Amino acid sequence: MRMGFAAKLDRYFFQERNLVFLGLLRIALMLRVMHHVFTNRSVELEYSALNQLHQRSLLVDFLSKTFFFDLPASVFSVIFIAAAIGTLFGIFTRVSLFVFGIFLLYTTGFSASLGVFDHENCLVSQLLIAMAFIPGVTNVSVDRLVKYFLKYRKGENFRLYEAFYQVKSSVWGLRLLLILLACVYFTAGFSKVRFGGLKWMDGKTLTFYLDGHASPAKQGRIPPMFLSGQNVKPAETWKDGFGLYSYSYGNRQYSGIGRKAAEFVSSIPLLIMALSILTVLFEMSSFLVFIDGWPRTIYLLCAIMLHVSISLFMNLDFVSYRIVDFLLVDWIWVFRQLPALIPSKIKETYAQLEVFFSRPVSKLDRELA
Amino acid sequence: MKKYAVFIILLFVLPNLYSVIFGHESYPFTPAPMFTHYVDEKSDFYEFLFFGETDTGEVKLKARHQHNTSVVSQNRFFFDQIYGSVEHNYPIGTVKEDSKKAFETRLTQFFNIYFDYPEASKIRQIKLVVNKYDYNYKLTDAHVVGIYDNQTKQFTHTWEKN
Repeated sequence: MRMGFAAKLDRYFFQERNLVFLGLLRIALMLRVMHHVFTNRSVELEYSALNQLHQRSLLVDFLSKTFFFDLPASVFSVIFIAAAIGTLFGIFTRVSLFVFGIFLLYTTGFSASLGVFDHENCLVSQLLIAMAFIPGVTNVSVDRLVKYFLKYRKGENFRLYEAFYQVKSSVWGLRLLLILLACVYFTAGFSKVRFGGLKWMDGKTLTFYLDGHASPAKQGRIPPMFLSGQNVKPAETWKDGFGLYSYSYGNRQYSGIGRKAAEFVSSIPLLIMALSILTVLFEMSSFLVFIDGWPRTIYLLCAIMLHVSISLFMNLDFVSYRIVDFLLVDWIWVFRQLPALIPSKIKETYAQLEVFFSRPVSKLDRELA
Repeated sequence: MKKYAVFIILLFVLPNLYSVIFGHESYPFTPAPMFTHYVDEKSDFYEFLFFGETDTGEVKLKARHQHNTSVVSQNRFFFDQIYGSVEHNYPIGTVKEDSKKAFETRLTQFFNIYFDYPEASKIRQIKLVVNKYDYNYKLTDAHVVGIYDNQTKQFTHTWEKN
């Protein structure tokens, strides 16, 4: 019998799968964020000292009016770090994720009001907050170990692996994370056409960013960054006689190898045009992550390659995106494709581990006794 | 459970979709406008400069803020929230439907805060200048946008009088 659209949609969002990777995503994102926070010392800002000249976004302004963001910086930092530890180990996992995510959004939101919109943590903070509400994030957590230790004390029967992860959870939360990720990739491609026009794909914009024009290292200073439109209307020039539209971004690659690689690529017009077209098409194809199996897997692996190349050429590493891409790959599909490639020794070891972790705990307990 | 799931999905997806569709950036929602404006060898580049008028001539001044110390972030902040783009549907910033009066009010507030340090406070007037450069950063033109008077603590937009 053929399924209707509503039934297909229902199955797509609410089928059950192993989501152990969401537990790993929680841990990996926390480690990355804390590395970023300690490098930038961003939790030490005295937020209350910032004046109204720096306008906060609607959401950050709303948060700033809630009582707990009026805390002294030292108390704010202690709560932030406690939430980070809770997120890492999975202690009060959902509360920790929510507090950690919202504090991250708040601190990076203040940086945005000072002029630098953090395009890495704007997604990460949303993912962390969303993860506080979805199934699968308590996999690999102290919360889970404690829960099953209490079951063990009560004499309830369960299998050992259940103390580490749930075999099947509803996938709607995973779908939500994929939608948020796909939105960011899609809009990055769409905006190139929206703000730069189809001519963005002629490769000249990318050439400007890679050939050293946008490089403070090559120019010996931060180059003039503001731009005007090429067909500025007279009415648009009332402020200064020029009509300023926007600004260019810098290429902060200071490594000699990275700069040489970027300059080489930008010196071949056909190659740079092909890369520009490919980038826009790739980013706008992000809906592929909604299709399980090879489309999601290949898209996310290619996205990691895109970030690696941007990191080489421009020193924008976007490690958080790479972590998210890697852990949201359809690993169940990947493992199903692998049996033929795995050496028999590894298969045997895996089978032994599977048997060990699949034992009912009460039986294991008797054997150990 | 399903109603809860739909509520959470919509709660996160709708503001992101708004940002994608209307192209407006409001943290943490973004249409990712980085590197999107077209640049080629015919493009001109611009730079904001501040000059203080002293008895002995002009001195170049820097904007200063205790929490906003990076030149890049100061430049972006200044453009997005104070100076304002003339581009229709500019994705970043807070300046909408600009006017000469609103422009002068914002610039006045900016000078009052970013030039409130001893060296700048001693100076009578500070000029805001926009320099124009070609693709290879050769200076081709410069316009005085306006003047901040340190006595009255007011910025006056003077470009039309030039």
